[in-house]
Amino acid sequence: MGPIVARIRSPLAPVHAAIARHYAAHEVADDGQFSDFPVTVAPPSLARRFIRPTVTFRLDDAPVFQPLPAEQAFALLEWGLNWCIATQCHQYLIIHSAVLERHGHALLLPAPPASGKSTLCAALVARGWRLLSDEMALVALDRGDVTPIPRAIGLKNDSIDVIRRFWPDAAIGTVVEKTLKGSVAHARPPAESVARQHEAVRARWIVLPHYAKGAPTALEPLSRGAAFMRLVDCAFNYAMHGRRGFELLATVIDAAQCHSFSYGGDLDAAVRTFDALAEAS
Amino acid sequence: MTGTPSWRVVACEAIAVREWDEELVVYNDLDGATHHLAPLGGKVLLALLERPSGFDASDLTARVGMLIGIDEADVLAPVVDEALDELVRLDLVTQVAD
Repeated sequence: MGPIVARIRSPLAPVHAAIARHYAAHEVADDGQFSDFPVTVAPPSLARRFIRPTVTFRLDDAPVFQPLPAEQAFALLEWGLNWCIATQCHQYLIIHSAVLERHGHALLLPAPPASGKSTLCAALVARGWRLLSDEMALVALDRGDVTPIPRAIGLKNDSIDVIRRFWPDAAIGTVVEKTLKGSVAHARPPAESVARQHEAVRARWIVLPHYAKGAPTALEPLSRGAAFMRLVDCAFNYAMHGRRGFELLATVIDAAQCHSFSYGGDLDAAVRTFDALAEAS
Repeated sequence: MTGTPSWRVVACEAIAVREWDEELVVYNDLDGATHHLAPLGGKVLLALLERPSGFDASDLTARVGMLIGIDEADVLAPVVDEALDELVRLDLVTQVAD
């Protein structure tokens, strides 16, 4: 997936099915190929396969999180891979952000949870924007461009049905209830986005999204200073990179148009806004 | 005898700045902190970065006035003082007695 090779082991048929659904277009590495993340999603014990079944996520055979109910196995795999990337891939400056591409330029949507980032991301993908990631912008330290890592798009709670209606052709998997994030489901990334996963792009637009039910759709200019500080706040490993990270983010901001974006659920209006932004640049 | 207080950046070589449209973002190597300064605070810091040995309050006010195009020292001095207090609070600037 993008620059990462994950070796995923699991005895669980639902995990196999979910991987087959969401990663059908991804390359499969050869058996002996080095993997960045050898992970396992499996019951922690034989007993837990049958009695109040739970699953754990292991990296290199070491458990990473507390066990979760077995029906959350695929969601746990996705969260686990996010954790692996965010904590290990320090050859990048990693920003909590959706990333999409149009006309050879990247749109970053850096945002904390519950900002509507993933819903907006899914809507833009539904209308032809290339998906680089719904979760993390990997900014290459040496080049300053964004490396794609297109994976299943995570949807939560009301956004699941919203995206089902907006994107009828989306391959959305099983809805899992009562997770720590509420109800979750995943949408398969478009095959074209996966086919182009080795095409990095530079950021042209940095847009801070904010969802508030019923709010009008509005795109407003944002100062570069404010946008910079949002990137700092959303960068998982900014502190690790110190001054180099500061200079890198400044370079990203230098080349970008910065905006804040508020919307209240009118995804058609939202997509028109971003399409217009792309056409105007 | 009391010296005239001067102000200087704690460690100029540790400071990285980037300015866009009168806003300044600042990185301090000494503590890893990143700051987003309001326009006047940014100009005060930029003035201090021009002279690592520091400015006394009067010269600093004059230099900041040149940077922003205001020459009324009596108007500018109190707000420069406020900006200095903020920069000291952020561990970017320190007061030095002559």
